[in-house]
Amino acid sequence: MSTLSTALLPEKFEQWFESRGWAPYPHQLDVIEASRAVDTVLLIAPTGGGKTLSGFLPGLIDAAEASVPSSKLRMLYLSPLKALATDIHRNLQVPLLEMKLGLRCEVRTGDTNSYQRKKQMTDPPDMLLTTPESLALIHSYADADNYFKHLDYVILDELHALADNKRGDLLALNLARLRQANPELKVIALSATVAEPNELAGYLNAQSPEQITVINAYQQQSITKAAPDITLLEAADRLPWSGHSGRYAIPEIMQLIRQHQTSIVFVNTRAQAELTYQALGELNEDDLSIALHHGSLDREHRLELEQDLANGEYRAVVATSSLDLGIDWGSVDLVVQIGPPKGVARLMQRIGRSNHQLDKASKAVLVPTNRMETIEALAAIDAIAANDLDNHYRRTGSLDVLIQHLVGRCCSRPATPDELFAEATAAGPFACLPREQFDRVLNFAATGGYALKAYEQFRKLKTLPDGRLQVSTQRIARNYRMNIGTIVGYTHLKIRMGKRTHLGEVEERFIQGLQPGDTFLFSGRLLEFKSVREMTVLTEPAKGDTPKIPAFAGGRLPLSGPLARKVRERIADRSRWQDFPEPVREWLEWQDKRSHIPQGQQLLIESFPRQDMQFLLVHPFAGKAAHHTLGMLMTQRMEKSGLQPMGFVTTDYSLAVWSLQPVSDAEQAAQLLDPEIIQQELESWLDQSFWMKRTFRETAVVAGLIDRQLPGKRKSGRQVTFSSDLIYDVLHQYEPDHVLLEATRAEAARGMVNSDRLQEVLREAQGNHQFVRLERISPFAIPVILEVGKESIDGGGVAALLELESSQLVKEAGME
Amino acid sequence: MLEFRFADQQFFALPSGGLWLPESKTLVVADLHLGKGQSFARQGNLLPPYDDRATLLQLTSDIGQYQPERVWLLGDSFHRSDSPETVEEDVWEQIQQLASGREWVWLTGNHDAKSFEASSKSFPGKVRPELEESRIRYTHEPLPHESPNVFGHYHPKVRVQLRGRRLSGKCFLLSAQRLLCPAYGAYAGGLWWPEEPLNDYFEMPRFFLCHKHQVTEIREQSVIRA
Repeated sequence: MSTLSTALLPEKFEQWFESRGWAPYPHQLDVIEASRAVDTVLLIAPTGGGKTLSGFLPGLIDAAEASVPSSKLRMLYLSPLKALATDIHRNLQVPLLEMKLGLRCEVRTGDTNSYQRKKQMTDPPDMLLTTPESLALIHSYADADNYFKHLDYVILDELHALADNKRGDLLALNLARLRQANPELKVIALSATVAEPNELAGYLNAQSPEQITVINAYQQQSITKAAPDITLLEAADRLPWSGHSGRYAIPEIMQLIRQHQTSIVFVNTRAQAELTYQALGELNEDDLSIALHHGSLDREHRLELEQDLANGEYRAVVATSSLDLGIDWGSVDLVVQIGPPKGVARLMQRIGRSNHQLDKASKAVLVPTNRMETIEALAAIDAIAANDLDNHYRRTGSLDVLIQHLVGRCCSRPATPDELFAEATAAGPFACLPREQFDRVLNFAATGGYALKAYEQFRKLKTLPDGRLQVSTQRIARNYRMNIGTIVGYTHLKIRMGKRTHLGEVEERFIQGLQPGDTFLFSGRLLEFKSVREMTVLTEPAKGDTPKIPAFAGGRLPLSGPLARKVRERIADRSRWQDFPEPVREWLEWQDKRSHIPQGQQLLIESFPRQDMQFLLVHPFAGKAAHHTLGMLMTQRMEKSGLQPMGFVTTDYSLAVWSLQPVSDAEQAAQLLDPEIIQQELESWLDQSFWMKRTFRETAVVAGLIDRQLPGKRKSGRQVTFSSDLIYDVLHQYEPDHVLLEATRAEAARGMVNSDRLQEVLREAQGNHQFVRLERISPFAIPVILEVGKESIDGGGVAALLELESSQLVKEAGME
Repeated sequence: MLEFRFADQQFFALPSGGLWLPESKTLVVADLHLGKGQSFARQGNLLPPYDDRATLLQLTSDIGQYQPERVWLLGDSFHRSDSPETVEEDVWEQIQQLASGREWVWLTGNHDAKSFEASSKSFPGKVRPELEESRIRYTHEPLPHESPNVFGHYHPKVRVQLRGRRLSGKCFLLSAQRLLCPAYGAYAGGLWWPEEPLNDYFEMPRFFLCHKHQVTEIREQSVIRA
């Protein structure tokens, strides 16, 4: 053992490492050393490198060296997943017991019963393992600051999975509060590899820059993990033109499962998971145990499954991003990714689920489901080899989360607006929040913030004589506690098969599209839809094997910008076309001959007639969401200029719009794709768009304007709820600049509408369009044109559709 | 607006959810739920306090356009018994103005049955449990027996699919003996066809969908049933 470790590790710990046959990793010692010098340590390390233990070591050492056993909460561990907290709890028992540290370590999540929770408050353990939402809940009680007063360490695990979303905003605000109450607090954050560690450091927002130390285990020689072994599946001769099913490759995937001990087969959507699971089942002649895991499945069933997986009872599991994070299964030796990776860091995370130990290379096989995805897969492999990551963390915090936090803050202890502002801006995502905006947010939290001061008597936060704000009634505090959290699900209905069997839950929206008798796959079964009773979908097992309704939504992943750029580079680089499978190469060659291969930032625009329609193909590579927005805006513009657009479809790479009149020259196309004009159209379209209303609903729930629909809360026959759409309409009509609409626009712009990305792509391409007028469909157009008819066509006038419906009735009535 | 006949009378369904009877110059509206936003605010959901204004703005617009001699409100005009006391003063003034110079009848509903007697306000017009004219009975809740009946209470809504495009909105439901009006109030939610008990009262109704500024009859096959 090195002298360094002797200096840092107490004897007890050294002996324990030796007894296990381990030596501490250099980064573990670095964390101990750094935590003594600064208030914030960020450790970037691969899984399997003793990362989590690194986070706990400084606190464990302190506890071992303390003469008196503590009966106070000393260490707080925060995890993005309940299951992970439980797993870490189990793993910690080994060092805690073997070193006889005499520390009590407990888990607290939404699943912890109220007796346990109460006990944890009155008789705190030394170590508490929990989630950001549970922390927010504890923080809403009056004695919260007292409870955390003796806290020495906060450990943030898998920070990369939180720091770029609303849950991360919530965590950052609660972290700021912990620090405010306890300036001596040390924060140790753990993350997988990220593109720019400094962005995560910014999220952690230490008191000052010299108070944060970033330790990157990847840069330490001892930790070099063997380069992952990633290959493309060889079944390319059957590569389909479009779709995402990967069905063509099922025999090869089955073969791979047979050859490995335990495989995870990742797919990108829940529907794909169901279909893949079914297809594998059909070819499973050896009767291997294969499981299915996705976010809609019944929770208990899922937890049981995870346990069985950990025990090595399955040979393969088909999973969605629900398994991207999570507990460590030593036995996984293969990861199969069906469909495009969508992001480099995401793919790395998934691949890292195999061969978790550091000395073994992870093994993965990628299964692209069409030609463009093949290029995307190879581009991602390039990026991983070059360690060129695309996970960025430059986030401006969401205002709805701040609103929620402020109410919670005032449930616990009164505070002045100045104090609240100082605390909020101490959280990384809110560091740049202008005071003026904060004041409007606080005003919303207190009174609704309406210009019409109608609700003074109902205010949620009251001002005490000394100027501090406090929650006005216990009822509001209770309501706040029931509604904590940043993830807003849609109304979910339970799925019941036959009289008893409860299979899981689906979004109400999926069921709304079904007619009785329709069949669909769920939890690996083919079900026939019967009816909806209260909050339950009644189904029966169906005969046959082909579902009539192919998909239920959920889990669509956005294509990352950097990966999209890499795809374009690989397409433009003719010298590497030879590396592509034959069908892909041929496709590119045809495109080159018939139309054009876009170079650099160039935006390729193709125009051609097909089946009495005029098609305009644009290839921005900006992801499906941004393309959808572009499609809406373009059709709106085309309508105004008399081109008579009829509809559009999108993929992650392209957009196809069809109209009665052609867009026949470059100038006309450039007008449709001018970023300034897009900006002008966006405002008017956005405010009326479906996405805006959907986003408003989420924002309104997080901000506490409307309550969550809690599972199990039955809808009463007589409607007492209201639709958030109605509220949106009224607010938009009377106060279009209200802070909640401002928050909604910001969320929509970076979320489902993705206008931020669209804007960026169109700006980059400005003045660099390549317009090609063709006689017939181009090779690049084939995949997107094949999507026509697969999804409902948006755009075009609703008025015309209603007109048509009326004339159909007239026709039926024989009145023509 | 959409013209149709019910119990030998001429009716127009308006995009706002109101009914216009040109022969008797009567405007019929159901379920205004005035004071609903405020009622939620009292429970801690500080909804935008403009719902009563929005509702009355719509009513003012319909009255301005059709110049009715009579306005019948089919119950649940107020969301709570005490809503008449608590709504904003200007809302109350606006009601007085709209009611002046015409027949104005408040039918009582389950939400506002006690609003009228308990109130210190002086209500314009008359308060009635129901009305009958030309063999048609006007009530808040449906009548159990089969005679021509116009009512509200259920706030019907429907989802439709037109050439792959989905729309939804409040709607009128119509059968030989029953005409159900949608809710007129800005925050009045609704029941989706064919949720219970809508399907208890209608077997194969006609659907008139209100979407923005249009009312359109929707064919049965275009209606999403789940």
